[in-house]
Amino acid sequence: MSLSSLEELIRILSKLPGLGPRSARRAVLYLLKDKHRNFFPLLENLNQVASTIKTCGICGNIDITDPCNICSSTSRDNTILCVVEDVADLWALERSGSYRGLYHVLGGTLSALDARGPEEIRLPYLLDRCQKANPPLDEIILALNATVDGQTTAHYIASSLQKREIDIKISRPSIGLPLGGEYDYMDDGTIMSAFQARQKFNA
Amino acid sequence: MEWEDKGYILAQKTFSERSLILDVFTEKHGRIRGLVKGSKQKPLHSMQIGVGGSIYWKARLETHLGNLTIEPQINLLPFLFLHPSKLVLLKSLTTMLTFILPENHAYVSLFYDFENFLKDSLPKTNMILLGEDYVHLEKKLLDTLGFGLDINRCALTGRQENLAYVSPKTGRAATLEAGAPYKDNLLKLPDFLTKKEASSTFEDVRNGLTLTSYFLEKHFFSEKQKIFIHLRKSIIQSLNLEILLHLS
Repeated sequence: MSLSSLEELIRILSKLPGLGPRSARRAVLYLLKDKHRNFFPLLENLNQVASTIKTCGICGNIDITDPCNICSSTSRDNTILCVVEDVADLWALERSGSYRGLYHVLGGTLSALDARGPEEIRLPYLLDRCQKANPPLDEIILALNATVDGQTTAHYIASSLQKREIDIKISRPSIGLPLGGEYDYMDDGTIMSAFQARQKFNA
Repeated sequence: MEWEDKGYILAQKTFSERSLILDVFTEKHGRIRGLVKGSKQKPLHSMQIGVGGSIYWKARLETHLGNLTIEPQINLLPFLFLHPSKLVLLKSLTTMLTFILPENHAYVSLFYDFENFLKDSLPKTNMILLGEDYVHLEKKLLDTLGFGLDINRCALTGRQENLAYVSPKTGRAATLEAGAPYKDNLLKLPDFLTKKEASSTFEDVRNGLTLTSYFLEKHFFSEKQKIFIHLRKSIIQSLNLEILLHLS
């Protein structure tokens, strides 16, 4: 390995999220210290993942099979569909274990500034999917980020569903206090949202 | 150089993992861009579109992407999240300002109109009045940038009453009678744009939006940027009557 290829490796690693040039150098040195235990298994895994990973043609998740494990699972509730912005959000919901339905990954939000229209976020496909679902969908959860872009996109999807007269319950996760949160440290917006979405307290 | 001003966030873009590049509409400096650095201790989730407050900008040269610090004082978002039509109006307006306004050029009067829209118009419960205010603001935007509509008197007769149409070629008004032979080629001019005491319907608001849309598209959006106008139209169309009636 020439010095320039080593530098190139450091440069590529330094572009990864969470890493800078300094931490990339440390990572490379660590990998090279024991090549058989660290470097080669990593290389093998990277190769394998790069050659086998696929984007699910149904939901947009990434997996080694198409359809993905979630779409092909028979144990999941296929009458509920959760719409998320990207794969990271899908994984976050899966980690929580709180949802056992199907997903639809948009791959972004509507944004005129970034030239992302309904086609770019696969909205026509989502509408078709909702219309032709078998068994029919009972509920669609719009789990988009609590940002202006996220919520505008959610409203756009909801109004598109209504326009197509697709009769499904449309819901969204509530917005409010996080677990372990203290009022003193919350911003005004979060407190206001939490109060507006307050629920009956069961004693 | 550095300065302090007041302003509102128009657009935000993620930069690296925790930082943001913001477009902000300020009172004395117009639309400016700057980097807001975030950290684990200082997440930037409150830096959302429409959030307003004190702006501190610092850079070596005026043309540089400066470092921004914002002390949020006004945040309408929690309230807007419950009102889809208002949220899309805010998004449409801020996107348009980001797209159209040149950087580092002050538009003080437009800034105050924008601020009034956020503070006074968006909280309105009557959606037709809100729609009127929105159209007025878009007309103001056209005026400010040198593409104003001449709708005070008829271009054909010089009369100031009964104005009903606008020529898509000249942006000048025509009365109901004078414009009648050409009405299929003219844009409808709603009463609320010319009379203070006019009582409007949803149809008037829609006509107003069609009017401003036409001239915004004509003057600011090239073929490449059609997606913007397409999105904007779809967003405006989503303000359907059911939503309006539900909210009003």
